[in-house]
Amino acid sequence: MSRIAVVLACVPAVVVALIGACGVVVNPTGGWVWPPDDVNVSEAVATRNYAEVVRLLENGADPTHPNVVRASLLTSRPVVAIPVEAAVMARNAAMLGLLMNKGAVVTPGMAGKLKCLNAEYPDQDVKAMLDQLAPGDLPHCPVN
Amino acid sequence: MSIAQSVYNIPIQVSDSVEVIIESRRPVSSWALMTEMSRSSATTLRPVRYLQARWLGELADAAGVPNHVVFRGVHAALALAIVVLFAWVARVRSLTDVAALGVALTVLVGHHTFGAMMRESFPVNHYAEVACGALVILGIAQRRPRLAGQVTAVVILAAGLLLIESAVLLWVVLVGCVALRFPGLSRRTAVAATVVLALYLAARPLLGIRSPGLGGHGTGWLAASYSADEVVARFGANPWPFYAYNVLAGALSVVASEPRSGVYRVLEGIQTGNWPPVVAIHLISSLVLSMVIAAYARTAWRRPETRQLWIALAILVVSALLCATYVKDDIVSTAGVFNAVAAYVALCLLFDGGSERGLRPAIALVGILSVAPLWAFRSVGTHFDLRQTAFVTRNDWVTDRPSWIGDSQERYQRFTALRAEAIRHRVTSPSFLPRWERYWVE
Repeated sequence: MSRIAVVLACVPAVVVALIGACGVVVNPTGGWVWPPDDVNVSEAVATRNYAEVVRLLENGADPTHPNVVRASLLTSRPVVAIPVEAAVMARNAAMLGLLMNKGAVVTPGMAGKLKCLNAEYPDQDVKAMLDQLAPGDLPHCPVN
Repeated sequence: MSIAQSVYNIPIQVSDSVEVIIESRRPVSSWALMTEMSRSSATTLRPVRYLQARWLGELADAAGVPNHVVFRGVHAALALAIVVLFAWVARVRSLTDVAALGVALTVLVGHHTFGAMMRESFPVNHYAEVACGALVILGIAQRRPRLAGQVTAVVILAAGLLLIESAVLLWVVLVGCVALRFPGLSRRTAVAATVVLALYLAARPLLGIRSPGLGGHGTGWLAASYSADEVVARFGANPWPFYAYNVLAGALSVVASEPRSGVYRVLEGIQTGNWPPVVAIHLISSLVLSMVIAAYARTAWRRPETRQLWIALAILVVSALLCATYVKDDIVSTAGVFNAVAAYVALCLLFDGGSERGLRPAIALVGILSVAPLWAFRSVGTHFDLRQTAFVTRNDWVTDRPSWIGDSQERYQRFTALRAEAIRHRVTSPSFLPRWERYWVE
């Protein structure tokens, strides 16, 4: 059997093994190729990372603080959003409920604003939650 | 090492693991736990599962380290052990053997059943333990006979049968090696192993344990998944075609990477018009490799040093039979490991072909050169799979107090401690993985 053919057959395996070994050596705790996320609360909300939301909030992060959410996570451009706004834009009722359980207070005024966001990013479950918080018709929503 | 790292990165699971970890600490002693868990289920006899969870939990407490370090450490060690044991049974003697081993390792790690084995933990993945045990027994059989080796093989079988029913595969490897005249195991050892298996099978009805029938678990049929109740409703009147389908599906899952847990993604693609490239990658790489293995099977039979290919076939057949009532990737995971053993044997014969001429070596070589990159790609896919599992598993911990905890404060404290470990353990979100991976890898 041609030596060249044998070598060619195992080149892909060698490449993968070397990349894996580099990853372990460079960052044993997380891997060079797949490091853990470094996100703020709103970004964790946008990426459906419930556990990271809990970790950040239990470590003292403010559930009402606005954060910059990187492009492509919620919209095609970076956007500033408080966590509950990010949950509505992500169409994630479960996340909205989690945030409120963890101390995010949604005032009637804010609920109105969130309803406008929900109209822009529709989701029935989110709408049902917001209707419970602020019953009534959709308020007048400013045009962006 | 990188696979071990990806496995270690997965938090302890809420389902299948936490209740076992906490419940295993309740009885006053290991013996009390062993006797209680031998009678706790109507369909399974798995006291060793609880014993090892107890011992690992006690080790974590005694060492003052998080449970994650111990439990996930053991799981990562099992992943590493499978790779090391695979190289051990390969018995590399030449550079062409090294090359064959390199390709075979991508088959081992890239096969979807390996990912299934590494994704789940119960809290220690017993299928991984069975795979390790099977490789150890094969390695003992390949070498000179020693009393310690004979005893070890039988002890592994006995412990395995009390861990998971799939450990019957250990008996298959042991007796198969004796039947194929491997030097390291004697007929007396095969008889002892058969006595152990017979005692186990006799003990089950005495303990009131019966085999699970139809409806114990959901599974796939053609292009859809069915719940346990739906399976009973559809196949309860005449389950034999369903059993036959599952057995065939289990075997095909190993040799063709289709179906998955009984569901044919090819049929799904035909129905929906959606064809992720990953389906073609898996199907082509597995089919071509299986054809190369088949092409060299008869040559392997004639040579004593390559007869482990036939052990792989026996494992495949019995694993498929174990899928009769439902198909799941991890049930056939040991067969997936031995599929890689068969691949190694075929590749050695191909690469060492020397003066062999004709169509077979030429076609086989073209086939292997074509699919070697695909298998390397699949092995990368296993890492993606494990990273996604880490993300999902961690999120599962954002849950309310489970009902099984009841009013026990001690249980709730243990649960809270495990939860805190999982929440603290940061992982990669799929949102930050390359978008193409959803279509090209699993």
